[in-house]
Amino acid sequence: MSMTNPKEWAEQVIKQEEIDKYLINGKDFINEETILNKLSFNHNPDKQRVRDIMQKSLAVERLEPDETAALLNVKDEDLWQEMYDTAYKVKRKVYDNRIVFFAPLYCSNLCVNNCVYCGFRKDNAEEKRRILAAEEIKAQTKYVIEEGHKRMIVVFGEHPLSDADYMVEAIKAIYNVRKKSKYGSGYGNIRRVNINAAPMAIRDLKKLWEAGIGTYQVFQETYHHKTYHDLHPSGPKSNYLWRLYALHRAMDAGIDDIAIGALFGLYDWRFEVMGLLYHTIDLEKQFGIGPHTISFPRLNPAAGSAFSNNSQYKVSDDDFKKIITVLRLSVPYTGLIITAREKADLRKDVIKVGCTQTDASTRIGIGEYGQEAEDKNSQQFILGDIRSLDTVIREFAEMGIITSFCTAGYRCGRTGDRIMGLLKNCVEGKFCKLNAVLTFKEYLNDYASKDTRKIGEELIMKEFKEIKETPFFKNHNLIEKFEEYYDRVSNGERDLFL
Amino acid sequence: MAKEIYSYNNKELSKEKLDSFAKWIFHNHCIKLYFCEIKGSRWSFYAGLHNVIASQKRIMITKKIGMVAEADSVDKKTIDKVINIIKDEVSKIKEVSDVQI
Repeated sequence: MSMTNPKEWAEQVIKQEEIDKYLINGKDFINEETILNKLSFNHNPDKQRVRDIMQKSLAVERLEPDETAALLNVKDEDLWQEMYDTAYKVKRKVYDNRIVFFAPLYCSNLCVNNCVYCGFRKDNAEEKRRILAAEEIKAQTKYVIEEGHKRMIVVFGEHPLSDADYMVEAIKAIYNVRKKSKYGSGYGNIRRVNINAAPMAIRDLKKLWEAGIGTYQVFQETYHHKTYHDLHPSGPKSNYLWRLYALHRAMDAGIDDIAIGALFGLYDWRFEVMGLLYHTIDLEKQFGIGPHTISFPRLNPAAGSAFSNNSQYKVSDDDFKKIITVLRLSVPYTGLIITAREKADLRKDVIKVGCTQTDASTRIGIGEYGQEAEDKNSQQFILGDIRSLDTVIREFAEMGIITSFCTAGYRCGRTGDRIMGLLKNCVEGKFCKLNAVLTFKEYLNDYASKDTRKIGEELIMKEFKEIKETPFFKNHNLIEKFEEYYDRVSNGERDLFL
Repeated sequence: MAKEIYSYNNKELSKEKLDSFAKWIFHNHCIKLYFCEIKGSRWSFYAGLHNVIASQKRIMITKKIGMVAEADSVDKKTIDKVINIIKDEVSKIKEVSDVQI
Protein backbone atom coordinates (compact mmCIF):
# COMPACT_ATOMS: atom_id res chain seq x y z
CA MET A 1 0.00 0.00 0.00
CA SER A 2 1.47 3.33 -1.05
CA MET A 3 1.80 6.20 1.44
CA THR A 4 2.20 8.80 -1.30
CA ASN A 5 0.34 12.07 -1.05
CA PRO A 6 -2.92 11.56 -3.03
CA LYS A 7 -2.43 14.69 -5.12
CA GLU A 8 1.13 13.79 -6.07
CA TRP A 9 0.10 10.21 -6.68
CA ALA A 10 -2.77 11.24 -8.95
CA GLU A 11 -0.43 13.38 -11.04
CA GLN A 12 1.80 10.44 -11.94
CA VAL A 13 -0.92 7.90 -12.77
CA ILE A 14 -1.21 8.58 -16.47
CA LYS A 15 1.46 7.27 -18.83
CA GLN A 16 0.97 9.09 -22.11
CA GLU A 17 2.91 6.48 -24.08
CA GLU A 18 0.35 3.88 -22.91
CA ILE A 19 -2.34 5.91 -24.63
CA ASP A 20 -0.52 6.93 -27.78
CA LYS A 21 0.39 3.37 -28.75
CA TYR A 22 -3.25 2.48 -29.31
CA LEU A 23 -4.31 5.52 -31.30
CA ILE A 24 -4.75 4.97 -35.01
CA ASN A 25 -3.38 7.85 -37.06
CA GLY A 26 -3.33 9.82 -33.84
CA LYS A 27 -7.06 9.44 -33.28
CA ASP A 28 -9.20 7.44 -30.89
CA PHE A 29 -11.97 5.13 -32.09
CA ILE A 30 -14.88 7.31 -31.06
CA ASN A 31 -15.54 9.56 -34.02
CA GLU A 32 -18.58 11.53 -32.91
CA GLU A 33 -19.33 12.88 -36.34
CA THR A 34 -19.37 9.36 -37.77
CA ILE A 35 -21.63 8.08 -34.99
CA LEU A 36 -24.08 10.94 -35.38
CA ASN A 37 -24.06 10.51 -39.18
CA LYS A 38 -24.80 6.82 -38.86
CA LEU A 39 -27.65 7.46 -36.44
CA SER A 40 -29.00 10.05 -38.85
CA PHE A 41 -28.39 8.13 -42.09
CA ASN A 42 -30.12 4.99 -40.75
CA HIS A 43 -33.18 6.89 -39.69
CA ASN A 44 -36.52 5.08 -40.07
CA PRO A 45 -35.23 1.72 -41.40
CA ASP A 46 -37.70 -0.45 -43.29
CA LYS A 47 -39.00 -3.61 -41.67
CA GLN A 48 -37.29 -6.02 -44.03
CA ARG A 49 -33.88 -4.49 -43.36
CA VAL A 50 -34.43 -4.75 -39.62
CA ARG A 51 -35.49 -8.38 -40.01
CA ASP A 52 -32.40 -9.11 -42.10
CA ILE A 53 -30.25 -7.59 -39.38
CA MET A 54 -31.97 -9.77 -36.80
CA GLN A 55 -31.13 -12.83 -38.90
CA LYS A 56 -27.48 -11.84 -38.72
CA SER A 57 -27.76 -11.66 -34.92
CA LEU A 58 -29.35 -15.07 -34.87
CA ALA A 59 -26.35 -16.33 -36.82
CA VAL A 60 -24.26 -15.05 -33.87
CA GLU A 61 -22.45 -12.43 -35.93
CA ARG A 62 -21.52 -9.04 -34.56
CA LEU A 63 -23.37 -6.21 -36.21
CA GLU A 64 -21.70 -3.35 -38.05
CA PRO A 65 -22.30 0.21 -36.80
CA ASP A 66 -24.79 0.98 -39.58
CA GLU A 67 -26.83 -2.05 -38.60
CA THR A 68 -26.86 -1.17 -34.92
CA ALA A 69 -27.77 2.42 -35.82
CA ALA A 70 -30.71 1.09 -37.81
CA LEU A 71 -31.97 -0.95 -34.84
CA LEU A 72 -31.64 2.07 -32.59
CA ASN A 73 -33.85 4.03 -34.97
CA VAL A 74 -36.79 1.62 -35.03
CA LYS A 75 -40.00 3.45 -34.10
CA ASP A 76 -42.59 0.75 -34.75
CA GLU A 77 -43.48 -0.89 -31.41
CA ASP A 78 -44.54 -4.12 -33.13
CA LEU A 79 -41.10 -4.33 -34.68
CA TRP A 80 -39.56 -3.72 -31.27
CA GLN A 81 -41.54 -6.69 -30.01
CA GLU A 82 -39.97 -8.79 -32.77
CA MET A 83 -36.60 -7.51 -31.66
CA TYR A 84 -37.30 -8.44 -28.03
CA ASP A 85 -38.29 -11.94 -29.14
CA THR A 86 -35.21 -12.28 -31.32
CA ALA A 87 -32.91 -11.04 -28.55
CA TYR A 88 -34.35 -13.74 -26.32
CA LYS A 89 -33.70 -16.36 -29.00
CA VAL A 90 -30.13 -15.16 -29.45
CA LYS A 91 -29.57 -15.36 -25.73
CA ARG A 92 -30.96 -18.90 -25.58
CA LYS A 93 -28.86 -19.95 -28.54
CA VAL A 94 -25.57 -18.65 -27.16
CA TYR A 95 -26.05 -18.92 -23.39
CA ASP A 96 -29.11 -21.11 -22.96
CA ASN A 97 -31.52 -20.39 -20.10
CA ARG A 98 -28.97 -19.76 -17.41
CA ILE A 99 -28.06 -16.65 -15.48
CA VAL A 100 -24.81 -16.29 -13.57
CA PHE A 101 -24.90 -14.64 -10.17
CA PHE A 102 -22.20 -12.59 -8.52
CA ALA A 103 -21.85 -10.34 -5.48
CA PRO A 104 -20.17 -6.96 -5.47
CA LEU A 105 -17.79 -6.06 -2.67
CA TYR A 106 -16.93 -2.41 -2.24
CA CYS A 107 -13.53 -2.27 -0.53
CA SER A 108 -12.84 1.43 -0.51
CA ASN A 109 -14.57 4.73 -1.22
CA LEU A 110 -11.45 6.89 -1.02
CA CYS A 111 -11.12 8.62 -4.36
CA VAL A 112 -8.96 11.26 -6.00
CA ASN A 113 -11.55 12.00 -8.70
CA ASN A 114 -14.50 14.32 -8.71
CA CYS A 115 -17.14 12.73 -10.95
CA VAL A 116 -20.17 15.00 -10.78
CA TYR A 117 -22.69 12.14 -10.55
CA CYS A 118 -20.88 9.94 -8.01
CA GLY A 119 -21.27 9.70 -4.26
CA PHE A 120 -17.60 8.70 -3.90
CA ARG A 121 -16.28 11.90 -5.47
CA LYS A 122 -13.49 13.65 -3.61
CA ASP A 123 -15.42 16.81 -2.79
CA ASN A 124 -18.51 15.04 -1.43
CA ALA A 125 -18.25 15.97 2.23
CA GLU A 126 -21.30 13.83 3.08
CA GLU A 127 -19.46 10.64 2.18
CA LYS A 128 -18.00 8.71 5.11
CA ARG A 129 -14.61 7.51 3.87
CA ARG A 130 -13.45 4.03 4.60
CA ILE A 131 -11.04 1.40 3.33
CA LEU A 132 -11.27 -2.22 4.38
CA ALA A 133 -8.28 -3.94 5.94
CA ALA A 134 -7.47 -7.49 4.82
CA GLU A 135 -9.23 -8.99 7.84
CA GLU A 136 -12.33 -6.91 7.13
CA ILE A 137 -12.29 -8.06 3.51
CA LYS A 138 -12.18 -11.65 4.73
CA ALA A 139 -15.05 -11.00 7.14
CA GLN A 140 -17.13 -9.44 4.35
CA THR A 141 -16.30 -12.35 2.08
CA LYS A 142 -17.63 -14.76 4.69
CA TYR A 143 -20.98 -12.98 4.63
CA VAL A 144 -21.06 -13.22 0.86
CA ILE A 145 -20.18 -16.91 0.93
CA GLU A 146 -22.88 -17.53 3.54
CA GLU A 147 -25.43 -16.36 1.00
CA GLY A 148 -24.18 -19.00 -1.42
CA HIS A 149 -22.16 -16.85 -3.81
CA LYS A 150 -19.12 -18.19 -5.65
CA ARG A 151 -18.18 -15.15 -7.71
CA MET A 152 -17.37 -11.60 -6.68
CA ILE A 153 -16.74 -8.29 -8.32
CA VAL A 154 -14.56 -6.20 -6.07
CA VAL A 155 -14.84 -2.43 -6.43
CA PHE A 156 -12.22 0.16 -5.52
CA GLY A 157 -12.10 3.93 -5.61
CA GLU A 158 -9.03 5.45 -7.25
CA HIS A 159 -6.61 6.37 -4.50
CA PRO A 160 -3.01 5.57 -3.49
CA LEU A 161 -4.29 3.62 -0.48
CA SER A 162 -6.28 1.35 -2.79
CA ASP A 163 -3.62 0.94 -5.48
CA ALA A 164 -2.76 -2.23 -7.40
CA ASP A 165 -0.80 -3.68 -4.47
CA TYR A 166 -3.82 -3.26 -2.21
CA MET A 167 -6.00 -4.91 -4.86
CA VAL A 168 -3.63 -7.87 -5.05
CA GLU A 169 -3.87 -8.29 -1.28
CA ALA A 170 -7.66 -8.09 -1.52
CA ILE A 171 -7.76 -10.76 -4.23
CA LYS A 172 -5.54 -13.06 -2.17
CA ALA A 173 -7.57 -12.44 0.98
CA ILE A 174 -10.82 -13.33 -0.78
CA TYR A 175 -9.49 -16.48 -2.42
CA ASN A 176 -8.22 -17.67 0.96
CA VAL A 177 -11.61 -17.57 2.71
CA ARG A 178 -13.49 -20.80 3.29
CA LYS A 179 -16.71 -20.92 5.24
CA LYS A 180 -18.79 -23.87 6.31
CA SER A 181 -21.96 -24.07 4.28
CA LYS A 182 -25.35 -23.32 5.82
CA TYR A 183 -26.53 -26.92 5.41
CA GLY A 184 -24.57 -30.14 5.07
CA SER A 185 -20.94 -30.57 5.95
CA GLY A 186 -19.31 -28.81 3.03
CA TYR A 187 -17.49 -25.51 2.66
CA GLY A 188 -18.18 -22.53 0.48
CA ASN A 189 -15.59 -20.29 -1.11
CA ILE A 190 -15.21 -17.62 -3.78
CA ARG A 191 -13.97 -19.20 -6.98
CA ARG A 192 -13.66 -16.18 -9.22
CA VAL A 193 -12.70 -12.63 -8.24
CA ASN A 194 -13.40 -9.94 -10.82
CA ILE A 195 -12.20 -6.39 -10.37
CA ASN A 196 -13.87 -3.05 -11.09
CA ALA A 197 -11.20 -0.43 -10.69
CA ALA A 198 -9.77 2.67 -12.24
CA PRO A 199 -7.58 2.49 -15.34
CA MET A 200 -4.03 1.48 -14.55
CA ALA A 201 -0.65 1.32 -16.22
CA ILE A 202 0.38 -1.99 -17.76
CA ARG A 203 2.90 -2.59 -14.99
CA ASP A 204 0.13 -2.48 -12.35
CA LEU A 205 -2.27 -4.52 -14.45
CA LYS A 206 0.33 -7.27 -14.61
CA LYS A 207 0.20 -7.46 -10.82
CA LEU A 208 -3.53 -8.19 -10.98
CA TRP A 209 -2.89 -10.75 -13.69
CA GLU A 210 -0.30 -12.54 -11.59
CA ALA A 211 -2.72 -12.60 -8.66
CA GLY A 212 -5.30 -14.53 -10.70
CA ILE A 213 -7.85 -11.85 -11.52
CA GLY A 214 -11.03 -13.01 -13.23
CA THR A 215 -12.37 -10.18 -15.33
CA TYR A 216 -11.10 -6.61 -15.27
CA GLN A 217 -13.94 -4.15 -15.64
CA VAL A 218 -13.73 -0.47 -16.50
CA PHE A 219 -16.74 1.57 -17.59
CA GLN A 220 -16.15 4.51 -19.87
CA GLU A 221 -19.23 6.15 -18.25
CA THR A 222 -19.90 8.23 -21.39
CA TYR A 223 -18.29 7.96 -24.80
CA HIS A 224 -19.19 11.55 -25.64
CA HIS A 225 -15.99 13.58 -25.33
CA LYS A 226 -17.43 16.90 -24.19
CA THR A 227 -19.87 15.36 -21.74
CA TYR A 228 -17.05 13.24 -20.36
CA HIS A 229 -14.88 16.29 -19.78
CA ASP A 230 -17.73 18.24 -18.18
CA LEU A 231 -18.61 15.44 -15.76
CA HIS A 232 -15.06 14.47 -14.79
CA PRO A 233 -13.48 17.79 -13.96
CA SER A 234 -10.35 16.66 -12.11
CA GLY A 235 -8.14 13.74 -11.17
CA PRO A 236 -6.80 11.03 -13.47
CA LYS A 237 -10.34 10.24 -14.52
CA SER A 238 -10.57 13.58 -16.27
CA ASN A 239 -8.37 12.07 -19.01
CA TYR A 240 -10.84 10.53 -21.49
CA LEU A 241 -8.22 8.63 -23.46
CA TRP A 242 -6.52 7.12 -20.41
CA ARG A 243 -9.85 5.54 -19.56
CA LEU A 244 -10.79 4.68 -23.14
CA TYR A 245 -7.68 2.52 -23.53
CA ALA A 246 -7.70 0.99 -20.03
CA LEU A 247 -8.78 -2.35 -21.40
CA HIS A 248 -6.33 -2.26 -24.28
CA ARG A 249 -3.61 -2.00 -21.66
CA ALA A 250 -5.19 -4.86 -19.73
CA MET A 251 -4.93 -7.01 -22.84
CA ASP A 252 -1.28 -6.08 -23.19
CA ALA A 253 -0.78 -7.04 -19.54
CA GLY A 254 -2.18 -10.50 -20.29
CA ILE A 255 -5.68 -10.02 -18.86
CA ASP A 256 -7.78 -11.40 -21.66
CA ASP A 257 -11.15 -11.29 -19.88
CA ILE A 258 -12.16 -7.67 -19.88
CA ALA A 259 -15.47 -5.87 -19.42
CA ILE A 260 -16.76 -2.59 -20.75
CA GLY A 261 -19.75 -0.48 -19.83
CA ALA A 262 -21.40 2.90 -19.97
CA LEU A 263 -23.39 4.74 -17.35
CA PHE A 264 -26.65 5.44 -19.13
CA GLY A 265 -28.16 8.79 -18.29
CA LEU A 266 -25.09 10.94 -18.75
CA TYR A 267 -25.64 11.45 -22.49
CA ASP A 268 -27.97 10.26 -25.27
CA TRP A 269 -28.49 6.52 -24.90
CA ARG A 270 -28.36 5.79 -28.61
CA PHE A 271 -24.95 7.43 -28.84
CA GLU A 272 -23.69 5.39 -25.87
CA VAL A 273 -24.81 2.11 -27.44
CA MET A 274 -22.85 3.07 -30.56
CA GLY A 275 -19.86 3.90 -28.33
CA LEU A 276 -19.99 0.45 -26.72
CA LEU A 277 -20.12 -1.14 -30.16
CA TYR A 278 -17.14 0.86 -31.42
CA HIS A 279 -15.25 -0.06 -28.25
CA THR A 280 -15.95 -3.73 -28.96
CA ILE A 281 -14.87 -3.37 -32.57
CA ASP A 282 -11.60 -1.66 -31.68
CA LEU A 283 -10.69 -4.34 -29.13
CA GLU A 284 -11.47 -7.03 -31.69
CA LYS A 285 -9.44 -5.18 -34.31
CA GLN A 286 -6.39 -4.63 -32.10
CA PHE A 287 -6.41 -7.86 -30.05
CA GLY A 288 -8.76 -10.29 -31.77
CA ILE A 289 -10.94 -10.44 -28.64
CA GLY A 290 -13.88 -8.31 -27.67
CA PRO A 291 -15.19 -7.73 -24.16
CA HIS A 292 -16.23 -10.66 -22.00
CA THR A 293 -19.20 -8.64 -20.74
CA ILE A 294 -20.94 -5.34 -21.32
CA SER A 295 -22.64 -3.43 -18.49
CA PHE A 296 -25.26 -0.76 -18.90
CA PRO A 297 -26.02 0.69 -15.46
CA ARG A 298 -28.48 3.56 -15.35
CA LEU A 299 -27.74 6.73 -13.49
CA ASN A 300 -29.33 6.38 -10.05
CA PRO A 301 -29.71 8.99 -7.34
CA ALA A 302 -26.53 9.31 -5.27
CA ALA A 303 -26.23 11.04 -1.90
CA GLY A 304 -24.67 14.46 -2.31
CA SER A 305 -25.05 14.56 -6.12
CA ALA A 306 -27.72 16.88 -7.50
CA PHE A 307 -26.72 15.90 -11.04
CA SER A 308 -27.69 12.28 -10.42
CA ASN A 309 -31.28 13.41 -9.84
CA ASN A 310 -31.52 15.99 -12.60
CA SER A 311 -29.78 14.73 -15.72
CA GLN A 312 -31.67 15.53 -18.94
CA TYR A 313 -30.54 12.20 -20.40
CA LYS A 314 -32.15 9.93 -17.82
CA VAL A 315 -33.26 6.68 -19.44
CA SER A 316 -36.87 5.52 -19.10
CA ASP A 317 -37.71 1.89 -18.34
CA ASP A 318 -38.94 1.38 -21.92
CA ASP A 319 -35.73 2.75 -23.40
CA PHE A 320 -33.69 0.70 -20.96
CA LYS A 321 -35.23 -2.46 -22.36
CA LYS A 322 -34.40 -1.24 -25.86
CA ILE A 323 -30.77 -0.64 -24.88
CA ILE A 324 -30.39 -4.21 -23.65
CA THR A 325 -32.15 -5.58 -26.72
CA VAL A 326 -29.94 -3.72 -29.18
CA LEU A 327 -26.80 -4.70 -27.29
CA ARG A 328 -27.84 -8.35 -27.31
CA LEU A 329 -28.50 -8.22 -31.05
CA SER A 330 -25.35 -6.22 -31.81
CA VAL A 331 -22.86 -8.38 -29.91
CA PRO A 332 -24.59 -11.75 -29.61
CA TYR A 333 -21.63 -13.57 -28.07
CA THR A 334 -20.87 -11.14 -25.23
CA GLY A 335 -22.30 -11.38 -21.74
CA LEU A 336 -24.66 -8.66 -20.55
CA ILE A 337 -24.81 -7.66 -16.90
CA ILE A 338 -27.86 -6.19 -15.21
CA THR A 339 -27.44 -5.24 -11.59
CA ALA A 340 -29.44 -4.65 -8.45
CA ARG A 341 -29.45 -0.95 -9.27
CA GLU A 342 -32.67 -1.84 -11.07
CA LYS A 343 -35.96 -2.50 -9.34
CA ALA A 344 -37.12 -6.11 -9.06
CA ASP A 345 -40.04 -5.88 -11.51
CA LEU A 346 -37.98 -4.25 -14.21
CA ARG A 347 -35.13 -6.71 -13.80
CA LYS A 348 -37.61 -9.56 -14.09
CA ASP A 349 -38.90 -8.12 -17.36
CA VAL A 350 -35.65 -7.16 -19.08
CA ILE A 351 -33.70 -10.23 -18.06
CA LYS A 352 -35.58 -12.03 -20.81
CA VAL A 353 -34.14 -9.92 -23.61
CA GLY A 354 -30.64 -11.13 -23.14
CA CYS A 355 -28.98 -10.61 -19.77
CA THR A 356 -26.49 -13.25 -18.70
CA GLN A 357 -25.28 -12.08 -15.30
CA THR A 358 -26.77 -10.36 -12.28
CA ASP A 359 -26.28 -9.85 -8.57
CA ALA A 360 -28.41 -10.34 -5.46
CA SER A 361 -28.16 -9.95 -1.69
CA THR A 362 -26.24 -6.89 -2.76
CA ARG A 363 -24.72 -4.33 -0.41
CA ILE A 364 -22.71 -1.47 -1.83
CA GLY A 365 -21.74 0.38 1.32
CA ILE A 366 -18.18 -0.18 2.50
CA GLY A 367 -18.26 -3.06 4.98
CA GLU A 368 -22.04 -3.25 4.75
CA TYR A 369 -22.49 -6.99 4.37
CA GLY A 370 -23.83 -8.40 7.60
CA GLN A 371 -25.73 -5.23 8.38
CA GLU A 372 -29.47 -4.88 8.05
CA ALA A 373 -29.88 -1.20 7.29
CA GLU A 374 -28.62 0.70 4.28
CA ASP A 375 -26.61 3.78 5.05
CA LYS A 376 -27.14 5.87 1.95
CA ASN A 377 -24.29 8.15 2.96
CA SER A 378 -21.71 5.44 2.47
CA GLN A 379 -22.83 4.27 -0.95
CA GLN A 380 -21.87 5.20 -4.48
CA PHE A 381 -25.54 5.22 -5.52
CA ILE A 382 -28.88 3.86 -4.30
CA LEU A 383 -29.96 0.28 -5.02
CA GLY A 384 -33.28 -0.71 -6.56
CA ASP A 385 -33.38 -4.32 -5.37
CA ILE A 386 -31.94 -5.55 -2.09
CA ARG A 387 -33.72 -8.91 -2.00
CA SER A 388 -31.82 -11.98 -0.87
CA LEU A 389 -30.06 -14.26 -3.32
CA ASP A 390 -32.45 -17.05 -2.35
CA THR A 391 -35.50 -14.94 -3.19
CA VAL A 392 -34.17 -13.84 -6.58
CA ILE A 393 -33.06 -17.35 -7.49
CA ARG A 394 -36.51 -18.68 -6.64
CA GLU A 395 -38.17 -16.01 -8.77
CA PHE A 396 -35.94 -16.85 -11.72
CA ALA A 397 -36.49 -20.59 -11.26
CA GLU A 398 -40.23 -19.98 -11.45
CA MET A 399 -39.56 -18.28 -14.80
CA GLY A 400 -37.61 -21.34 -16.02
CA ILE A 401 -34.23 -19.62 -15.65
CA ILE A 402 -31.55 -21.69 -13.99
CA THR A 403 -29.05 -20.01 -11.73
CA SER A 404 -25.42 -20.79 -12.39
CA PHE A 405 -22.48 -20.31 -10.07
CA CYS A 406 -20.19 -21.73 -12.69
CA THR A 407 -16.62 -20.48 -12.75
CA ALA A 408 -15.33 -23.36 -14.83
CA GLY A 409 -14.24 -21.54 -17.98
CA TYR A 410 -11.78 -19.39 -16.09
CA ARG A 411 -10.23 -22.43 -14.48
CA CYS A 412 -9.81 -24.68 -17.48
CA GLY A 413 -8.54 -22.41 -20.22
CA ARG A 414 -11.87 -21.30 -21.65
CA THR A 415 -10.78 -17.68 -21.49
CA GLY A 416 -9.99 -14.87 -23.90
CA ASP A 417 -10.17 -15.74 -27.59
CA ARG A 418 -10.85 -19.37 -26.81
CA ILE A 419 -14.06 -18.67 -24.89
CA MET A 420 -15.06 -16.15 -27.54
CA GLY A 421 -14.66 -18.83 -30.20
CA LEU A 422 -16.75 -21.26 -28.18
CA LEU A 423 -19.45 -18.63 -27.63
CA LYS A 424 -19.57 -17.71 -31.32
CA ASN A 425 -19.98 -21.39 -32.18
CA CYS A 426 -22.67 -21.80 -29.50
CA VAL A 427 -20.59 -24.42 -27.69
CA GLU A 428 -19.87 -22.57 -24.45
CA GLY A 429 -23.57 -22.39 -23.66
CA LYS A 430 -23.66 -26.17 -23.67
CA PHE A 431 -21.03 -26.31 -20.96
CA CYS A 432 -22.88 -23.54 -19.16
CA LYS A 433 -25.89 -25.80 -19.02
CA LEU A 434 -24.02 -28.71 -17.47
CA ASN A 435 -22.06 -26.58 -15.05
CA ALA A 436 -25.15 -24.57 -14.18
CA VAL A 437 -26.91 -27.75 -13.08
CA LEU A 438 -23.91 -28.91 -11.04
CA THR A 439 -23.44 -25.58 -9.27
CA PHE A 440 -27.17 -25.02 -8.83
CA LYS A 441 -27.38 -28.41 -7.15
CA GLU A 442 -24.57 -27.35 -4.82
CA TYR A 443 -26.49 -24.20 -3.96
CA LEU A 444 -29.77 -26.01 -3.36
CA ASN A 445 -28.13 -28.48 -1.00
CA ASP A 446 -25.91 -26.00 0.82
CA TYR A 447 -27.83 -22.73 1.04
CA ALA A 448 -31.36 -22.77 -0.39
CA SER A 449 -34.58 -22.35 1.57
CA LYS A 450 -37.12 -25.13 1.48
CA ASP A 451 -39.27 -23.37 -1.14
CA THR A 452 -36.33 -22.58 -3.39
CA ARG A 453 -35.06 -26.12 -3.12
CA LYS A 454 -38.41 -27.48 -4.21
CA ILE A 455 -38.74 -25.34 -7.34
CA GLY A 456 -35.02 -25.71 -8.00
CA GLU A 457 -35.15 -29.49 -7.97
CA GLU A 458 -38.07 -29.40 -10.40
CA LEU A 459 -36.07 -27.18 -12.72
CA ILE A 460 -33.08 -29.50 -12.53
CA MET A 461 -35.26 -32.42 -13.58
CA LYS A 462 -36.32 -30.44 -16.67
CA GLU A 463 -32.68 -29.62 -17.41
CA PHE A 464 -31.74 -33.29 -17.13
CA LYS A 465 -34.38 -34.20 -19.67
CA GLU A 466 -33.14 -31.53 -22.09
CA ILE A 467 -29.52 -32.59 -21.63
CA LYS A 468 -30.31 -36.19 -22.42
CA GLU A 469 -32.22 -35.16 -25.53
CA THR A 470 -29.52 -32.82 -26.85
CA PRO A 471 -27.32 -34.53 -29.47
CA PHE A 472 -24.28 -32.38 -28.60
CA PHE A 473 -23.91 -33.98 -25.19
CA LYS A 474 -24.29 -37.48 -26.54
CA ASN A 475 -21.91 -36.86 -29.46
CA HIS A 476 -19.18 -35.66 -27.12
CA ASN A 477 -19.69 -38.43 -24.56
CA LEU A 478 -20.57 -35.92 -21.90
CA ILE A 479 -23.73 -37.39 -20.43
CA GLU A 480 -22.07 -40.21 -18.51
CA LYS A 481 -19.48 -37.87 -17.02
CA PHE A 482 -22.10 -35.29 -16.17
CA GLU A 483 -24.29 -37.87 -14.42
CA GLU A 484 -21.30 -39.14 -12.47
CA TYR A 485 -20.49 -35.58 -11.37
CA TYR A 486 -24.10 -34.88 -10.49
CA ASP A 487 -24.23 -37.96 -8.25
CA ARG A 488 -20.98 -36.97 -6.59
CA VAL A 489 -22.24 -33.41 -5.99
CA SER A 490 -25.49 -34.82 -4.58
CA ASN A 491 -23.38 -36.89 -2.21
CA GLY A 492 -21.44 -33.92 -0.90
CA GLU A 493 -18.47 -33.42 -3.24
CA ARG A 494 -17.99 -29.83 -4.37
CA ASP A 495 -16.50 -27.87 -7.23
CA LEU A 496 -16.75 -30.49 -9.95
CA PHE A 497 -17.00 -29.01 -13.42
CA LEU A 498 -16.76 -29.79 -17.10
CA MET B 1 10.94 -41.06 -27.71
CA ALA B 2 8.90 -38.00 -27.00
CA LYS B 3 8.97 -35.15 -29.43
CA GLU B 4 11.19 -32.39 -28.11
CA ILE B 5 9.12 -29.42 -27.07
CA TYR B 6 11.88 -27.17 -25.98
CA SER B 7 15.09 -25.75 -27.16
CA TYR B 8 18.05 -25.74 -24.84
CA ASN B 9 19.31 -22.75 -26.75
CA ASN B 10 16.16 -20.70 -26.25
CA LYS B 11 15.64 -21.98 -22.71
CA GLU B 12 11.96 -21.35 -22.91
CA LEU B 13 8.74 -23.10 -23.68
CA SER B 14 7.34 -21.34 -26.70
CA LYS B 15 3.76 -21.36 -27.88
CA GLU B 16 4.85 -22.80 -31.19
CA LYS B 17 6.58 -25.72 -29.53
CA LEU B 18 3.60 -26.47 -27.32
CA ASP B 19 1.29 -26.22 -30.33
CA SER B 20 3.50 -28.65 -32.13
CA PHE B 21 3.67 -30.98 -29.15
CA ALA B 22 -0.12 -30.99 -28.77
CA LYS B 23 -0.41 -32.01 -32.42
CA TRP B 24 2.16 -34.73 -31.91
CA ILE B 25 0.27 -36.10 -28.89
CA PHE B 26 -2.95 -36.13 -30.87
CA HIS B 27 -1.32 -37.82 -33.83
CA ASN B 28 0.34 -40.51 -31.72
CA HIS B 29 -2.05 -40.97 -28.81
CA CYS B 30 -5.40 -39.60 -30.06
CA ILE B 31 -5.65 -37.21 -27.13
CA LYS B 32 -6.76 -33.66 -27.83
CA LEU B 33 -5.20 -31.21 -25.41
CA TYR B 34 -4.08 -27.67 -24.79
CA PHE B 35 -1.82 -25.95 -22.33
CA CYS B 36 -2.72 -23.23 -19.87
CA GLU B 37 -0.79 -20.56 -18.10
CA ILE B 38 -1.65 -20.74 -14.38
CA LYS B 39 -2.10 -17.49 -12.48
CA GLY B 40 -3.54 -18.14 -9.04
CA SER B 41 -6.94 -19.77 -9.64
CA ARG B 42 -6.90 -18.76 -13.26
CA TRP B 43 -5.97 -21.15 -16.06
CA SER B 44 -5.62 -19.16 -19.27
CA PHE B 45 -5.36 -20.85 -22.62
CA TYR B 46 -1.75 -20.63 -23.76
CA ALA B 47 -1.11 -23.06 -26.60
CA GLY B 48 -2.25 -26.32 -28.11
CA LEU B 49 -5.30 -27.51 -29.99
CA HIS B 50 -8.23 -25.14 -30.37
CA ASN B 51 -10.76 -27.86 -31.14
CA VAL B 52 -10.87 -29.36 -27.65
CA ILE B 53 -14.54 -29.37 -26.77
CA ALA B 54 -14.91 -31.31 -23.56
CA SER B 55 -12.21 -30.37 -21.09
CA GLN B 56 -12.37 -33.55 -19.06
CA LYS B 57 -8.89 -33.79 -17.59
CA ARG B 58 -7.14 -30.89 -15.92
CA ILE B 59 -3.63 -31.59 -14.80
CA MET B 60 -1.16 -29.24 -13.20
CA ILE B 61 2.23 -29.99 -14.71
CA THR B 62 4.22 -27.32 -12.92
CA LYS B 63 3.12 -24.40 -10.79
CA LYS B 64 2.96 -22.31 -13.96
CA ILE B 65 1.77 -24.75 -16.59
CA GLY B 66 -1.38 -26.82 -16.73
CA MET B 67 -2.76 -29.19 -19.29
CA VAL B 68 -6.40 -29.65 -20.23
CA ALA B 69 -7.36 -32.69 -22.25
CA GLU B 70 -10.41 -34.17 -23.89
CA ALA B 71 -9.50 -37.62 -22.85
CA ASP B 72 -12.40 -39.42 -21.31
CA SER B 73 -12.58 -42.13 -23.95
CA VAL B 74 -8.86 -42.82 -23.80
CA ASP B 75 -7.66 -45.50 -21.41
CA LYS B 76 -5.93 -44.45 -18.21
CA LYS B 77 -2.65 -46.12 -19.19
CA THR B 78 -2.36 -43.96 -22.29
CA ILE B 79 -3.25 -40.81 -20.38
CA ASP B 80 -0.66 -41.56 -17.73
CA LYS B 81 1.91 -42.21 -20.43
CA VAL B 82 1.20 -38.87 -22.10
CA ILE B 83 1.30 -37.03 -18.78
CA ASN B 84 4.65 -38.58 -18.01
CA ILE B 85 5.99 -37.57 -21.41
CA ILE B 86 4.89 -33.98 -20.82
CA LYS B 87 6.22 -33.86 -17.28
CA ASP B 88 9.47 -35.32 -18.42
CA GLU B 89 9.86 -32.74 -21.14
CA VAL B 90 8.95 -29.87 -18.86
CA SER B 91 11.32 -31.08 -16.16
CA LYS B 92 14.15 -31.03 -18.71
CA ILE B 93 13.47 -27.39 -19.31
CA LYS B 94 13.37 -26.66 -15.62
CA GLU B 95 16.79 -28.24 -15.31
CA VAL B 96 18.10 -25.59 -17.66
CA SER B 97 16.20 -22.58 -16.38
CA ASP B 98 12.92 -21.60 -14.81
CA VAL B 99 10.18 -21.98 -17.33
CA GLN B 100 8.83 -18.62 -18.33
CA ILE B 101 5.66 -18.83 -20.32
